[in-house]
Amino acid sequence: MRNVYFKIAVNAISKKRIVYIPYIFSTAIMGMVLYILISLSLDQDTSAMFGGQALAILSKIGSIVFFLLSMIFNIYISFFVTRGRNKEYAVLNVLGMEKKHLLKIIFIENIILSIAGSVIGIVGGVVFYKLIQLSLIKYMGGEINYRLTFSFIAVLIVLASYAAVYAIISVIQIIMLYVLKPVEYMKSGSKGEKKGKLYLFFAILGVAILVVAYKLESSIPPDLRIRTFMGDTTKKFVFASILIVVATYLIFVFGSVAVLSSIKKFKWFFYRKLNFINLSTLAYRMRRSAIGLGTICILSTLAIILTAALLTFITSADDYLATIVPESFTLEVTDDEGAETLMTYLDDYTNNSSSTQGVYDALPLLIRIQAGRIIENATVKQGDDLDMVYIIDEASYSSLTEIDPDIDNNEFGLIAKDKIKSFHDMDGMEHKLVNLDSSPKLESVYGSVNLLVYPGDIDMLLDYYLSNDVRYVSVIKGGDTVLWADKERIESEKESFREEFKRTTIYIVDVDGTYEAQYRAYLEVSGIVGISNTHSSTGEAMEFIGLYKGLTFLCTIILFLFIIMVSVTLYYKNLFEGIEDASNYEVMRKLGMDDKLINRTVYIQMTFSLILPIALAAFHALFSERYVIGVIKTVNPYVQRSFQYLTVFSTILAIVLYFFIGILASRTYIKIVKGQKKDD
Amino acid sequence: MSLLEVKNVRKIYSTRFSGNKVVALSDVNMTVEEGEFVAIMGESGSGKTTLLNIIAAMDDATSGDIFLNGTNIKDIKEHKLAEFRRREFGFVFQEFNLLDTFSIGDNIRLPLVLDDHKSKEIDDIVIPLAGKLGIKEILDKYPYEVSGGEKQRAACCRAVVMKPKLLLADEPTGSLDSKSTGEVLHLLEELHASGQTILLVTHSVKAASHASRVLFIKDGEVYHQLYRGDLSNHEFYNRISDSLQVLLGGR
Ligand SMILES: Nc1ncnc2c1ncn2[C@@H]1O[C@H](COP(=O)(O)OP(=O)(O)OP(=O)(O)O)[C@@H](O)[C@H]1O
Ligand SMILES: [Mg+2]
Repeated sequence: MRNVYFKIAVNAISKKRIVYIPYIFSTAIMGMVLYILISLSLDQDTSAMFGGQALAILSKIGSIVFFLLSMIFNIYISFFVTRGRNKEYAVLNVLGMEKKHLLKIIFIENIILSIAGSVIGIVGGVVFYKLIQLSLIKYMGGEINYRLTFSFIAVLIVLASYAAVYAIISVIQIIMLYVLKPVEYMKSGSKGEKKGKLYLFFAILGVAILVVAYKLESSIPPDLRIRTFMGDTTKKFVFASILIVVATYLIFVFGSVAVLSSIKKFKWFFYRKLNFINLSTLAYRMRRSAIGLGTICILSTLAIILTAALLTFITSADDYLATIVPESFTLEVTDDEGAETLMTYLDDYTNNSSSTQGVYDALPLLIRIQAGRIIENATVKQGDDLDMVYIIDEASYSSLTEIDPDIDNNEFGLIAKDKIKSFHDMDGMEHKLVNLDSSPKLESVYGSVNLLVYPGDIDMLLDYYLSNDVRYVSVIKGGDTVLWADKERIESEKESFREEFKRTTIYIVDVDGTYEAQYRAYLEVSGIVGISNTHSSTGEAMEFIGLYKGLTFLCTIILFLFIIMVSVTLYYKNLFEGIEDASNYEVMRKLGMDDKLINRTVYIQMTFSLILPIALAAFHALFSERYVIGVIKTVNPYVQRSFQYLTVFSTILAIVLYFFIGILASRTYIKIVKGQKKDD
Repeated sequence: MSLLEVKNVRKIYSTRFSGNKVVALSDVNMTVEEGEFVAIMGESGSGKTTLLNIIAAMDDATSGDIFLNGTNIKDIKEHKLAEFRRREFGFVFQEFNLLDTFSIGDNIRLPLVLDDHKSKEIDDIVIPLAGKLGIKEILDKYPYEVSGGEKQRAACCRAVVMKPKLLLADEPTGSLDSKSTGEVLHLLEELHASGQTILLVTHSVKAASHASRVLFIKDGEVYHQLYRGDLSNHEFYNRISDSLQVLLGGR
């Protein structure tokens, strides 16, 4: 007897291949991607790469998010797939098959589907994972190894996720089996448009909720700090997102019908061939396809935001890298011996291929910034907030910034956070200060300390301090900020001080080759005696690039999935509408509609059902700008604000893509509608 | 000249896989005069639907000719065919074949809209006609919201809204209960009385008894025909019933 149920189940699946094969295929892809993401997050080879750790963490988060998303999607698609089956169960039920036997059929069917999906998914996952891993290592620059990796844990998790999904699907099917009566089963499919004021009410409610959600999103401050970003802002954004999802479904389910039926009232417009057919068909279909369209809209929103965010991130990456200047590292050399060792070392190290890009002199002084009080007579106490100020010459400044500072002889240039107008020396002489701009390169050499730019030779300045009886130098801005040199110490240790504060030379070293070579050279060179205050952003840059590539990689996978999800949704929508419409098509021909007209209406309706979700998705995406930029800023503070243009660009990309999907889907539809007629 | 002339029409279906040939019509000859109400009877599979489809140029005959008002329908160009069908024929089917996606009213308006009628004219035609056929109240409803009889009356309304030369009805009462059957037959009679030419395919003797002439099809040929003459519906019913017994008694 068991064989009979097995046969019925297998028969049903093989008979309805156009329904089940894409279904198995799409669940298999979900399993495959899940396997790949989990393996990525567990793989040692991946973690070993620069940025690999970030990628592993992202993969882990990605696999959790993706697991939830694919679960919802699979369940949603299963509704499509079982829609046709329900009628069949009803007929079997009427023919005398008991519900418990039907349960067995459902059970066997789900087991077959889940085994087929998971086996194809895991095999595909193992094969594609190796390919993806190799290309990822090639892309991110790691060590290639060809041994086949197989993650048992990933297999287990994927299998468990299939079990979970099919358990839920089975429960839903069983509930439907017991709740619906056979008569209702058989009738399902003959519901149409309902009219009423309720539709208008819910449509307006949807728009109102959307406006509130958009307002909420726009109230996010444009310049997020990480702290606020983590707290209230995220809560606000999540809340707004939920509102947007609700509003989207309300608008599609109720708004579309409300709008379409009010258009119908304009007879001069409605009673035209194409409008008549399209508006009627859309209004009729909307009740059921509205959920599908809402889903396409939400998926498209995610895809557009993801693409725009990724593009924003990519286009701003160079700015970030330019800011931290990873192509070179800086070394402070305080004695001639150190300088010599360094030069020989560099020559040896890179076989003369290295280059020192620039040598800059600087005189370190002490700076004290204290708010609220003039401290002209203050002495330095231990633990005071002292910082180094470098005095550099005009030539160094202009070569590092490519700006001509234009400083007169009795003036100093100042690069500081605060704008300061002047300072007095001990003689009471006031020196004007010219506030100058910094540059990434300047910062990479001197760090972000305050700089005084002296228009003449620095040795002369030192002489001036030592030979004149200057007790202190103070810089005052509106009574707030003081730049202060410890004259007492200079006085008491005149000679050794002069020795010690001899010129400090800063080398910018640029080693030919990759960032990795650069980084290795930096690590080795900075150990040399006589070299202090080293600084390199190369490691930081490599981490950043790793993260950036990892993100690009992950986003590409996820976008690919979105495309598949949208295609599958459209495929099923068309497939079932096609099957339902097959008989209508025959009637339309008898009523004197030619094929050309029918095809045109199919394409127009397809266009509508793709353009509407995308248009709304583009709005959703535009309003998410502030939060998304905030998220990007946590990684790259120098992000450019081109998100809006990139959103429009991504939307256009989506439209082009959907255009092709739409044409394919319409073809499927037309093929089904016309094919049905011949097979009858 | 007759309105419709069917000359030596033959139709052979060959199934794609087995190559089996089914002779659906072997040699059909018949005419329909303007204003006539002709019923065609015959057992299941005798080729009645096939004949209607060929007359309406929905399907090609294997050989033979159909003339409508003297025009051979073979000579109508492919791209004119849809328009030709729309203007010359009205269809009523057993399965009602209303489009679910349109309201009853819009189902009726559809042929007019397809024919590019002005929006102002459309309701001037549809509303009075619907009133005459007794379905004015359900125009805004959808097909799934009305009864089978109402659906069929709406389908009749849609079929005659273009004032076609010939109304083709394929078992229009086949899916109806006796009350609705009576209503639809009464409606056909009224249409006939107002000058509509009707070709009705039916299994029902009762339905056929409303016609002015009955043709019997057997083995793909017109086997016999009966004229009503001055007979009442009831007398004509008995005559048809007798003929059918002879026809079927052959087996
Ligand atoms: N598309 C087709 N391909 C092959 N054979 C067909 C096709 N359509 C009809 N036939 C065959 O042609 C014959 C006549 O069919 P038709 O549908 O015209 O019969 P009918 O008189 O309308 O029957 P019913 O009273 O049951 O509606 C039947 O034997 C049928 O099997
Ligand atoms: Mg038939």
